[in-house]
Amino acid sequence: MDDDCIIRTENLVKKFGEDVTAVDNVSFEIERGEVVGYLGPNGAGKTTTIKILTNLIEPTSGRACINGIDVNRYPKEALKDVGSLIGVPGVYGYLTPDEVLTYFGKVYRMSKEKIERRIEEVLELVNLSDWRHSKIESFSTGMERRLAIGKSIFHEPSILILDEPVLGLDPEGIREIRELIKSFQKKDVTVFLSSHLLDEVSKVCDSVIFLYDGKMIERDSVERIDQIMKQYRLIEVEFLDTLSESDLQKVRKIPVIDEVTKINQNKIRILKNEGDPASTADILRKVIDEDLDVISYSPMKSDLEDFYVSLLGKRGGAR
Amino acid sequence: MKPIREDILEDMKNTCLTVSFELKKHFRMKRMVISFALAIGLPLIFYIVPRIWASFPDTAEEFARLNLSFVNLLIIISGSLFAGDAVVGEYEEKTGLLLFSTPQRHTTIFIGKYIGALVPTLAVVSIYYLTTSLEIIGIYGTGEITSEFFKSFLIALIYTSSAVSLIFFFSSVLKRKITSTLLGFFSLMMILPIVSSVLQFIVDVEPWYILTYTEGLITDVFVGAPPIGGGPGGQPGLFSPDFYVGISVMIIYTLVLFFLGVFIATRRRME
Amino acid sequence: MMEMRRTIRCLAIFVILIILFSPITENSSGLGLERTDQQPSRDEFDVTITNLTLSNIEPKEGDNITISVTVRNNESFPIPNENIPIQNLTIRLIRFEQNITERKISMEAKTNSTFEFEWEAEGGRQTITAFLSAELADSKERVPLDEMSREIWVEPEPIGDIYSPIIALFLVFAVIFGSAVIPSIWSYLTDRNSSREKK
Repeated sequence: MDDDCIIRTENLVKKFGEDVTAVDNVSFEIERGEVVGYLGPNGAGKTTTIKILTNLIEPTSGRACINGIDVNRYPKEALKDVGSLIGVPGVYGYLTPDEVLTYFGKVYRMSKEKIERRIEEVLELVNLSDWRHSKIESFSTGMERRLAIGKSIFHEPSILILDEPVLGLDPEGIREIRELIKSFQKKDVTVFLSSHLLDEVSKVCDSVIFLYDGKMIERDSVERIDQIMKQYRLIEVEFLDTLSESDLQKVRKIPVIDEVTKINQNKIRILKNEGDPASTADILRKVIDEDLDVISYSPMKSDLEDFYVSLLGKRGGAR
Repeated sequence: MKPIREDILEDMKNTCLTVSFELKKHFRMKRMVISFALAIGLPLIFYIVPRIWASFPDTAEEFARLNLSFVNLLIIISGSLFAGDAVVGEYEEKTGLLLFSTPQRHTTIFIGKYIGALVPTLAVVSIYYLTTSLEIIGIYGTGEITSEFFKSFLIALIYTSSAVSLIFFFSSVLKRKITSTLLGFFSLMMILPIVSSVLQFIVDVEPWYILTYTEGLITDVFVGAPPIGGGPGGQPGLFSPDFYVGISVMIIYTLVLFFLGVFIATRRRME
Repeated sequence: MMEMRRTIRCLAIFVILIILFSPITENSSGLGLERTDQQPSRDEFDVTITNLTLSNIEPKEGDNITISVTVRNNESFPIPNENIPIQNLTIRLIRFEQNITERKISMEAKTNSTFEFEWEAEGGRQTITAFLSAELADSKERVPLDEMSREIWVEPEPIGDIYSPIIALFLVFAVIFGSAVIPSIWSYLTDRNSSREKK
């Protein structure tokens, strides 16, 4: 095992009952200082994976390790340097932020002085300094979320596991969290964050793991994905008449086209693997040559979401 | 991994942290205020009312027996307040997402929650007895605090542990705070006493294994076991709990339901 | 919501049960404990109980009490006697329809005699009844002659001891507080076993 490997899953499987496999043989490694995004639609298995990594649930089979320590077997050792934010946690409404953070500070064996110092710092960071001694039951959803984020970084962990960190936050809050995560990159903190907001992830992460239906379908660095996307072009084409299967096959046979996805009866999305403008014009010519009446032809700038959607179309299964 | 001694000390420290956190929670939610008020107010009723409108019983034992016949009610109310949401609250409120992802064994958390419910309930019962003893001293003199009074206090403490275990067990099993609190309350207040009565008066069988049947020991110690055929104002055909059997039943309920409750709680996951 | 409805339904059933059974609990003394009033047949034989006393009127449970029963034989013949129609004159002491003791007695004609019985007192409020009966010489049938009762309150013995609940409490607290160390011991043992298996 690589010493720099901080988070590792080995053939992780989680089943709920006989029928539902939430995580299906997921294996990945995250190195020290990496900021990795864990992407997938709702129900893909992101939160389940994170819950296994934070000992909230046990895997059906496989292992989840942090710093080489099995999380479910030795949670005290594995999680002592981990800060986490999972789902939408409740916060103890009858207590104040000061009391909640003091308790968790003691759990993480922080000294009194450090607890006092960090309370001020963290509440300042999440804009809750004025609410230090107010009962949490009077907080808004966004304030509770910021407090939960504050709790996750309170003990200055070297590993952060965040599940949908910007959920419930306004645009200003989202921007602040984005800046916070970027600041962790400079401090060599390993961040593993899950989201279904691909755009947010692409702005903060070094690499991305794509998950679909419990299976890992791709892992790549954001930089390489950007390069790939530069090679790819997405073109939306709308036709006058309804497209039959044979019409789709005719379009798929056109060279340079990588993938054709049907959006509706009259519209398709073409993914082509060359960025040359001439090939874009060439595709239009060839489509018209197939006796298909085009009423709209729109090349688009592709992003991470498009890459992900194309992956779903191309791979359609486990890595 | 860590040396075992260090591991044990850490677990005990985590348990203590959970206990203090639970006590703070009970204090903030005004549960302690309500329970302590009842623990002082209920015995005071038995002092103030006779003083103003009637007269005190002839003997200190009669006074104690009358006063302490309501300690069961206090145990049930306090136990339900403190233990009713001990486990289920973390799941229902989703505060477990913060708590269970910390570097602590879940077992130590739940043991801490149990102790955090047991300690204030025991404290409430102790205050009730302390108030009663002060009243006895005030009315009858210091010499009237007998060993039977102390015996009754100890039995009340054991019964309290078993009642808290039962309610804690419900808290581990059920999905909602309100359900576990109400089920715990009504089990001790109504369901088990009804089962006990049915067994005694209809089936004519001594319900020695029913927890609420053993509660009678708390006041029985003052006059000795009401014999078959009745004590003062007693009724023929009424069973009375055997001292040693009763205490054994309470211990069994306490420990079995405690371990079951912790076991089930640790198997439960934040799905 | 479903759970709430289920709970309310269960509670309603139990409230109905209380209402149904409350007459039974109020009148439990009426359940299966009928006492037959035996009226002695005094028509033929003038032998009666004239007094029933207890040596200690404020006993404690376990005290030995002497129960004295005074019987008067108003007949002109002694009992027992071969030529008289009744034989086997017997005093039976009963407490809650259970025999305490029974003894055959003999009496001279026109005399009062007092018979003493020892009894170890059992706790609570109770009635001691002395029954005087005899056997008919020809039919061997036992006929009641007289009875007398006394109510007594016996102070019950204190139940249990002080040490048992102390030990019980100590045991309970030791197990509960000690259980905090079980997970670490268990983890240590499983680690040791798995490292031995690897070797």
